[in-house]
Amino acid sequence: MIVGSVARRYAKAILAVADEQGSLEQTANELQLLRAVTDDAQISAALANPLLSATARRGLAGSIADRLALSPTTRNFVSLLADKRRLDQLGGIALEFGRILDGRMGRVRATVTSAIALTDAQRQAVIAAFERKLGRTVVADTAIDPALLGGVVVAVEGTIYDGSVRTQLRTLATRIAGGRSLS
Amino acid sequence: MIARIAAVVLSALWAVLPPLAALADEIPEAAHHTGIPWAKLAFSLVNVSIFFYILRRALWPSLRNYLAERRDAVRVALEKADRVRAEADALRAEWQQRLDKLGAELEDMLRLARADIERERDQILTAARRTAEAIQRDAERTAENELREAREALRAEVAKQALAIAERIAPDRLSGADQSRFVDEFIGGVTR
Repeated sequence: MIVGSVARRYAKAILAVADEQGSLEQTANELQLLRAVTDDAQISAALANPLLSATARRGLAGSIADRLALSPTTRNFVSLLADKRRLDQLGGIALEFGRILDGRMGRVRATVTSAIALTDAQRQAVIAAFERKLGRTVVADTAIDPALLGGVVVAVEGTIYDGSVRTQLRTLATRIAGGRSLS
Repeated sequence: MIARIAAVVLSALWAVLPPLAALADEIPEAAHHTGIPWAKLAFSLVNVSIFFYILRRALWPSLRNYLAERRDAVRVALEKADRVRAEADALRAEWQQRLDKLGAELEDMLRLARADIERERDQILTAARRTAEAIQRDAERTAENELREAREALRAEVAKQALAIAERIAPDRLSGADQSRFVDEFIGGVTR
């Protein structure tokens, strides 16, 4: 997702407030919740609707905050976004907030995808390997994709580390075909 | 010229004929006289003299001119005939000379023509040989390309089929141990 300059400015602002209050992690989690909510197409469309009145926008923001049991800081931030007609920027703000916080905390986000579920030992081994490689803490999400056939694919900082059986088979087949496309 | 001569002759006859007619009338009478008729003889002599005088004055220049012109014309004609004959002789000699040389010239022409034909035939044959070689090279190259294309297509098809089969049977054939090995190899590759 490409984050715009507006979302970056708001992310830095809420980060500064949360830092003052010592609630960086809590705010980050709440923003991730908000991001998950605003990923819903209907909610996203409602938030971006220019015909929505200020009262209605404020009511919608309050309703979401109540449902998610947000902290006062985050609640006020959402109300501010509603007043400024920037509720549609919530996803980008949460993403940018996470990035800034991860950078400050020396963390990096990763997605570990495998054909079958990894054991905890395998998952920890993969995370440890990337922590050694990158020199930072790796916060990993996991996913299952049977199409990989076997092995692991890790996406981290825009780079894909592909150790899947599917890719190895395709590489082998392409080599057998003399570099010719198999499609 | 002929008209002038005729006029002179008619004038002379006009001068001579009346005295001769008169003389003829007197001849029977003269047969009765004896001795020479001097008067008549003198008269005749005078007439003849007049006649010759007229001839000399009137006819002779024309006749002389006519003869001179005729002689000149004959001479010119003869000279012209000589010249034409000389030219004809020269022409005949030239043609004879040409005829004598014609055989050799024909031989030369035939030799040159044969040489040209040989050279042209060699050029045509060389060009045809080159064209044939080029066509053959192109055909061989095309055949090689098509063969290589077919070979690569076949290899790609085999690889594609092999990949499809491998992807189909892999989930059933791969065990937990295989997955552990893949993860270990991946971790080894990342940390290497």
